[in-house]
Amino acid sequence: MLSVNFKIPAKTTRQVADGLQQRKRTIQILAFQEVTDAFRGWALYLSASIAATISAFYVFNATSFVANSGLLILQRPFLIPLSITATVTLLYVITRATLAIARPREQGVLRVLFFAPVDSIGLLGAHLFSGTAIYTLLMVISVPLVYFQSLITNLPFPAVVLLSLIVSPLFATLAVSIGLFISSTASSSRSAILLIGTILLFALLIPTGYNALLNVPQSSRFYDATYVLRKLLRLARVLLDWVSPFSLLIGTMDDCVRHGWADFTQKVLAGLLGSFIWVGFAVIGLQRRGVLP
Amino acid sequence: MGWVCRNWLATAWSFTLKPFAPKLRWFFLFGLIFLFGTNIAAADTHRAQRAFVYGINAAVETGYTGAFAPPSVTTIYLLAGTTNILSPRITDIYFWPITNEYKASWELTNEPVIGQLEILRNDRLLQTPASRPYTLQSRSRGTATETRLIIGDEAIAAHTKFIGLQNAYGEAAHAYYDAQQKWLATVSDINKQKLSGNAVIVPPQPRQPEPIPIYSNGLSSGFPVNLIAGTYRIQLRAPDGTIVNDSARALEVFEARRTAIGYEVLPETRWTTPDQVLDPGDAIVGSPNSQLYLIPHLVTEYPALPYSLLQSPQQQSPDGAEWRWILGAPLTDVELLVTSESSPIKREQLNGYKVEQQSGAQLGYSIKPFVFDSERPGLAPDISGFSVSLKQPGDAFRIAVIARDSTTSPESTRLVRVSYPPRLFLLLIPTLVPIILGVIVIHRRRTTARLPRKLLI
Repeated sequence: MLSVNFKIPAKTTRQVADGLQQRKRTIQILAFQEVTDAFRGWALYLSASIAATISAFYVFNATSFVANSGLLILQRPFLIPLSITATVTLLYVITRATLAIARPREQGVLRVLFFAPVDSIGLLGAHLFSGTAIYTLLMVISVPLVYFQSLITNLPFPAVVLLSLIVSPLFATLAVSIGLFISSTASSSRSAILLIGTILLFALLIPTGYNALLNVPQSSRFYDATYVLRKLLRLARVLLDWVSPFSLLIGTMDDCVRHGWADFTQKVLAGLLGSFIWVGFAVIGLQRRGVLP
Repeated sequence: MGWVCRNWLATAWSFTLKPFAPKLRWFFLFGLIFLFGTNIAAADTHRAQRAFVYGINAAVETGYTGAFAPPSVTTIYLLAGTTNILSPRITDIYFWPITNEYKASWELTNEPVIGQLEILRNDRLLQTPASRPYTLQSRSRGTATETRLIIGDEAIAAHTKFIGLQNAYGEAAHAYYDAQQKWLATVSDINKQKLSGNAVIVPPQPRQPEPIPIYSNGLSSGFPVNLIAGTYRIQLRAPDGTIVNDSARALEVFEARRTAIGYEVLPETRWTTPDQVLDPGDAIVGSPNSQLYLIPHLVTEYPALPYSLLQSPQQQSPDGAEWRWILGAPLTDVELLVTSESSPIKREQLNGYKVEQQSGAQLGYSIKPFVFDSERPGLAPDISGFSVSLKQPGDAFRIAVIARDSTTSPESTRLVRVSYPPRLFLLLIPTLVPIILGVIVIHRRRTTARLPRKLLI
């Protein structure tokens, strides 16, 4: 009896190494292109300017208080201005990532791109690296502006606050991963933006709503009308604290300033785990959704 | 509405009283009134119920706090490494809806429960502390109160001494009252003699006895508990070997996360409303030409929720911050180091200051160094602290406290800054930098993109 062996020959180590080398090169080229594009657009400069403007008003408020009251106990100096700067930068990066796949797919560019030796992992890897790099570069531009504000007001700018930003690119990676997942699964760039907008709105409403409810006076001394709602929002806020890159970023900055290293490590691990999960979802999403609009 | 009521009454009549014979109907009606009536009366008179509770004298940062744990409190919170007292008691408790908690009628019933307290960890018996007499005695030191827990024979001796002081004060007060009455009568006579033109000498007024310097909560008995941080279970075993009802509770022993030296900051312009700088990461920012008075305190950072439940075990899970700094006892045997880049290290001594109200109708006061007055030896300074001057805008220095005996002390360094006047225009200048950078990059890109390749080379 004739037996035919249809076994596909396994890839040699060299072939695997060449493939990885090729993917690395693709990631480098695409990531560099993305970073260059970001610096050629207005959005990046506007983000840095908006962050510096919010910080300016915060600092002005503090110095005005000192001028009127004579004394201010400045709690964790410049932690809030730097948190605002990091948050605005993350918003820019996440919005950019949300459009990274959906827009070229809509324009038909993604289909053309995939004729080149580019696969989904290479493309998403490039966006992941470029997003993190853009965040880091934008922070390199923004943080000296905040520092300059501290110099012209003589408010202290402790080094530990600056140190707290060291792990922040990790949360930029998480934010970009979430953005890429939405982008790879969305039907159009408009729906991707709408989705990320809705998610951000909810993420903003949960802590705001919870804080607002904390300040609502009880309807009577015996009946607390908002008790259940408040508990639900508190639960949602706790969940959000472990999922949202914004909460994790601000949380680690806070932990770093007050030397809460156990909490800091937990949040960093949550950020790492979240990044892997969302990138994994984004790869699956892109492979299933394909490159056609 | 009337129609509904009529309908309801008719239905009630047909279902309850109609089946009975006419004579029995009245009997049944009275029976119902009696039953419901007695129930209403019972609800009013038996609001209090006898219950097993734990009386708690828990150590806190500033001394001791008293609380009790009714059966509704399933977890008791204590500080690690401190001696606390748990007193099993039977008392009458009643629910007080206004504060949403149980109150105890200690004056009606306060019976100690005989038994052996068992402390378990991971379901294994860890400790069986013996019940011992104890007393809490407080003594005022300046503006603070120092409370001491005394246990065992020492407690009995301290209580006996306190009773002795109390009796002596009572006798002295009585004697003072008599002497005062006599002196008033003498002064009245003298006044009469004065009016008739006689030269008289007024005898000195009797002096009030010095008040007792100690306060005491009396002698009681309880179980001293001193544990390391962790989760435990407590229960009271009766002499017959059974576990006393409601005595099994969870015991959460927690510890401080950080200890530091913080400061009460009193600006000269508003010394009655001091600020506190507690976290080592916080900074003091003041205005030029101002004077600050700093009172050093030991500060400790605790988890907010357990610390709150330690003080008030029946509190509904409060919301808020995760960690909380607690201002502890003021430090007296310390010096302040003022370090700046422009001048050598300065050492400041802890001094007393006196606040003097401005005379006249205008509001205001001034703070001056306290001078001991031998005629009024009991007079204490209003402020005992370090004086720090903030001179000109741009001044920056660090303050830290060192112990006089040169022992290592917790983190006490804080940044002090004198801020420049607020100038929004200057603060907004940096916001233009990214825009200018963007204009340069984008303009350059557009210009170079329009040029032919060979011109670029």
